[in-house]
Amino acid sequence: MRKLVLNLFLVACVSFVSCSKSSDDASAAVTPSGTVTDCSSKTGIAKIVCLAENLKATLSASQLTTLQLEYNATNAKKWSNLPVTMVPRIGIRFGDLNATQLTAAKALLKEVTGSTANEGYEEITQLWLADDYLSNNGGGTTYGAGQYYMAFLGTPSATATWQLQAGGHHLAVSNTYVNGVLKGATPSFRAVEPFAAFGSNYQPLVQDRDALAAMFGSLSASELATAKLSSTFSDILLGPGKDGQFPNAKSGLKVGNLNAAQKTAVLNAIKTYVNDIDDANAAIIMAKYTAEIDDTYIAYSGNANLTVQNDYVRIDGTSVWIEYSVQGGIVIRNVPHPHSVWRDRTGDYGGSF
Amino acid sequence: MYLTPTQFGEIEQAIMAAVSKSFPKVANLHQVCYLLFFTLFFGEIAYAHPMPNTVIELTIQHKSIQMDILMPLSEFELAFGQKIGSNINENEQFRRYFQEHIRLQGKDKQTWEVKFISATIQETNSEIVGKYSELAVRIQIFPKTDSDIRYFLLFYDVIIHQVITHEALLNVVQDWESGQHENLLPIGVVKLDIPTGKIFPLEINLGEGSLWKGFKTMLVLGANHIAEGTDHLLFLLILLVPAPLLVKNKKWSSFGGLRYTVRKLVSIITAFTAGHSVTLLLGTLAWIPFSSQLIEVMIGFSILISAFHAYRPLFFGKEIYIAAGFGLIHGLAFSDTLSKLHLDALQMGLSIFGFNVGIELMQICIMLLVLPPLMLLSKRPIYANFRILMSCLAAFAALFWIVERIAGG
Repeated sequence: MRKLVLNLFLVACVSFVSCSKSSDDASAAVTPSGTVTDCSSKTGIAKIVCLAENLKATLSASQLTTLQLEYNATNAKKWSNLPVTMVPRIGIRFGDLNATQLTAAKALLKEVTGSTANEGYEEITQLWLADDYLSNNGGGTTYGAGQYYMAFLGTPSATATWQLQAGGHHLAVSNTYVNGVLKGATPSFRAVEPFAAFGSNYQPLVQDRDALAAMFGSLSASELATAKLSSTFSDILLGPGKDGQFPNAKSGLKVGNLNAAQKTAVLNAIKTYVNDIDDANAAIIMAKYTAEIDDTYIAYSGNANLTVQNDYVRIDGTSVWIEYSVQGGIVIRNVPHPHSVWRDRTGDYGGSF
Repeated sequence: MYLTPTQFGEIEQAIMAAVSKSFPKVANLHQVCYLLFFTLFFGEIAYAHPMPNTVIELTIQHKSIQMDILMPLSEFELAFGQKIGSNINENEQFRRYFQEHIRLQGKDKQTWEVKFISATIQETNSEIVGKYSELAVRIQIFPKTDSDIRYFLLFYDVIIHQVITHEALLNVVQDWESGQHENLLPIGVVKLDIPTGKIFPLEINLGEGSLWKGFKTMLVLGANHIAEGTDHLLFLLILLVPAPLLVKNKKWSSFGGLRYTVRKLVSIITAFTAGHSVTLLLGTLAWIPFSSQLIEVMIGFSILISAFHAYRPLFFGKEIYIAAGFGLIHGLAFSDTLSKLHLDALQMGLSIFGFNVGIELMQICIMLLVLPPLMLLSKRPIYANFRILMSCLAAFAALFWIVERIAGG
């Protein structure tokens, strides 16, 4: 009898502890730390800050400390091409957010990314779908749209220096704002696996690849020969951790020696990267890259149509740096998948680090 | 300072014929080490590359350096320019490739001899890319006479001369003369310097090292092996517990006196030492093959039997033979530690000697520590209880080890 009473007491204790614990968790997740305001009448940096503050308002106090981090080089450089289980990211994880919070996070990401079809925000949503596809086709829980993160390095404001960081597997967005101006939209990483093994809705990098291939398609045989590099690239050169290591000398074919149509083809290829950021800022950056186009070089290794593993393309200008590398399949075996980075020789991390 | 393949080609080509020894499979440890290496030392940066990088493992010997190069086959073939077949060890062009792309230069600017030993292809696994084929190549490097083996410049561009996104992570897996024998020590990364487009040589300085330092390390290793090896320790103790006692009616009886006890103890310890010295030597030199699991299980049994002997005399008067016999078993377990090291004859000899001396010193320490209280206690009636308690504890532990070690295999 005594034993029975003891057991009952123990069961009661355990259930009390577990119940109180779970009610704690639930309340933590739904207590917003502020109130959401309507940002629709605002534009530019005011709207970005408004949406950032809205996201903060939907979060609990503990989520807020996860999102809002210090602006420093270590945090700024925490991006990678790899799944988040292999290289942990900082900030809030999309999979941990409720519907309201997720909507607020996506609204902000949409505001800072471009509206061009298959670029900008649309490219990112396709990339998430592709990661869901990987998750459902052998990749498991390592992959999927829930495994993406967002962090504020420094407090979002129209007068301070801060960075919006978003990313996960195959994605890195790093926008640096200084006194309300977008000082840097790079390093910006995009990749997708598999490249085109499924429906046309899921091909975030097809447009980029086609534009890069068209750039070489416009060249004569001797121009192509000049653009060809003898080295082999099984990856991009300036991936994560390779900040500020741009080659001293440019290689390949000088765009200044090309005709107007060929130059346009190069600019169109650059656009598929620059248009990943909001339209107004994309126009400003494109104007700069256009002005610098004559001193820009294009180069490739392998095949210029970028279809086979180890095919590689580079655009290297006074400011712009774009690399696209075709690699072997990881989850979906024997189907190549591309990695791609857009950097800026002076604008990476807003020039801060 | 970038070396073109042609410059590499100028180096030592006549040594091919001298290749005599064919090493077996490259150390099994390397996969474990590889993982350890990534998690402990390079973390995120190494993870950035989608294909595994080359891992180079250096074993620093007294007069030469063994270099094990582990690389993804696909990246190697990109650089080599063709697929390599199954009989790679006979492929002259393949063997020459490594001599053309690896050069070491001593302090005196002399180029060292680079000898191709063997190559194997094996399936392996990486967290990032899953299964892939790995090419493992063993190279042996000999400094010119009188050159300091602990300092050199490494000109290395295997794979990287062509696949410029590839990197080679250089580690010392074993440096006996500096006392390093089990940890993987990363000492540098060979990679393209992107701004200049060049591959710079790595300056390697292995620091202080000597035969004496290596010997000392082995001595400490042997001592620790006893001090931290609960099973060996327990075996020794349980063998010593009934030693001071006489036997009467096939049961343990009273204290046999100081001289009796000391003589008994010394003979037991000496017999045990003689036994394990023989098998430590034979096992380390791989002259007798054995399964370490079986040995570990047998050690469990040796403790169990000795525990029973402490309870009721089982082999009274024959302790010397039993101790020597069990010594043979324990010696093989000791040799398991040493045989994992890749040592040349001199280092191996000193290791066996140092390790054994370490074991002996620790045994003597334990004896000096245990003997006085044991003798004092054995004169009292309570000693019977103590002896039985010890014997039960040892038997219990032995049974646990036996089950665990059988299940563990």
